[in-house]
Amino acid sequence: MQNGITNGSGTGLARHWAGPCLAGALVLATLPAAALDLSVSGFGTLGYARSDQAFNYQRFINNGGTFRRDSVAGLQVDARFADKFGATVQVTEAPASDNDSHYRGVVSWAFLSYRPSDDWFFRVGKQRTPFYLYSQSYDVGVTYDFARLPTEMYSISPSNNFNGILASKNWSLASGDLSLDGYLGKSKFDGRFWLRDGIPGGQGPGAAFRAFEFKGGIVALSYKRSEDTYRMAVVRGVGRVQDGAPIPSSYPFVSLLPGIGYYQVDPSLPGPGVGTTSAFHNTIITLGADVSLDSGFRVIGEFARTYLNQSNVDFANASSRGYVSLLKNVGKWTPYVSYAFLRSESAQINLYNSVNNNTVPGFIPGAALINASQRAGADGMLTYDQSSWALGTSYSFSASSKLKGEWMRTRIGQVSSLVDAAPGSNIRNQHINVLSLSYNFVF
Amino acid sequence: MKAVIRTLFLALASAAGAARAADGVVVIGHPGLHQLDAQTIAKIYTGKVIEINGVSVTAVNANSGSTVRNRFLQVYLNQDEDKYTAYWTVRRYIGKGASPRELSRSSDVINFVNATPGAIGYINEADIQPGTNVLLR
Repeated sequence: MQNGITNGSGTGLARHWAGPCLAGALVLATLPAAALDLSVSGFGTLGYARSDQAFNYQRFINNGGTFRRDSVAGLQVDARFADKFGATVQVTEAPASDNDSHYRGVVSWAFLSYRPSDDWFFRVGKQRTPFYLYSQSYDVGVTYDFARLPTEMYSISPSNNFNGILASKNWSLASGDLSLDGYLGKSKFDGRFWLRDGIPGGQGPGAAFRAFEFKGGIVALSYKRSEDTYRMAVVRGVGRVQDGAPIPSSYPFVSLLPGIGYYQVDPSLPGPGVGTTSAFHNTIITLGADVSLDSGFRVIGEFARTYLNQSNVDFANASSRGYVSLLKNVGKWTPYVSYAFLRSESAQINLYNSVNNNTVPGFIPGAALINASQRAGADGMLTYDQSSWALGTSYSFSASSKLKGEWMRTRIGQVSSLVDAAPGSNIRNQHINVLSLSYNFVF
Repeated sequence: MKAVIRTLFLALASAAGAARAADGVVVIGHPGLHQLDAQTIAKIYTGKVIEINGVSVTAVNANSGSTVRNRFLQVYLNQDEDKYTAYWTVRRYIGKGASPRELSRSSDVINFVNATPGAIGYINEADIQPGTNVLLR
């Protein structure tokens, strides 16, 4: 259906770990033999989630239950040498980003760091950016109380990994610490599309993946005061398909008869040609705050707005998203309530509905293929209109382990590409209840 | 009235200082390091300060759960073990390094501090040896 989209497939165990191990070994090999400190640590989450719906939500969650959505394991090596230099390598094992069937080991961190003074810090290599409040420690469940960080917010990018350089400046103020982080580099990630019906004689139904890359810069301003954190980040960059193929960006409407026609969602359909672009130019702004209140209460909230800096692109995930949570610390317990939302721009939702609902009568030659293509074209648009309430708690056994439980009720409005709708169906104006339980640890 | 309150405040502050000394934890450093204030000590043990007067600092901790470590965390960082460990867990997994290495005995701390330029540690006051450079008590 779309150039470069492939159905996922797995790899052997040897290949599975070859890349991460090689990358980790290469970084560690750069260290002087007389490294002063070498510290090995690890983390993991064993998470189970189950919904009340037969279809998958967030790739894996359905009424059969799954460990795949939230379970992850990782190992990290930190080295400090020559006083001001250091290196970190982190490998994680989690469901693969380019198929739904396998787990895969990936290198999440692999960087060299240089801290010439108290206030300056530099890193080069693979790292994670402070794009969201918890984006850097996303995989380490012990570092936050939520059973799962709100997907509405944390799904802007499938990956927060970034290959490049970081320069960070810190100012110690009387009231707290102010820091400015600047990143420059690129990231590679896999986009996932769920094709409900597939195309007869073409792309089959199910998950399809496409490899993207993003080049750009991130500036994050953070202020920390005692237990409070405030953060604003701006991302600007260019996203492309890794193989350089053009990306569909608009579907022209082909009129056949008065009131009858179709959207040309694929070059194989007759028409003036699918609108394409070689790249998406995005700007993303995020705001976040984690503020302690009296009596053990705490408020955490984040908001993001994704802009598309192109007028000739009709769909590219321009959206608003965010969440707000109220937490209360009661000894080892931290119960919380959260509200999160994610909504694509109205123009995109309207276009999605138009394409998705469009059909041609059966007497039109090739009507079945055309009608199937309309729904497939809509599936390729990655459109969202959903919100969630969550009620949960964490129980801290110690600073190194937490048990978490959560009930989440998600409302799908007009559509959500986080839902794997069954063939022939539309998931709209529907609720999904999800129960989650996880054990999180570090060592 | 203000003078009375001020006198009372100073007396309380003095009593608090005496209580700190009574906790019996002293901060020691490599010969040549000058005395430090409690705020700087706290910043060193939270990774916010890595050099003093141009000298790179290497801090060492007592073993997790030890009495001297618990007292040190309480007096100088106003934290308990869980909070301190949680702080460094986050710091480690946002890529800002690992917590100071741990040494189990006071003699190990003294030997490390004496042998390592820029090293800082803490021990029970009773374990001070002749020639130990005390940075804060």
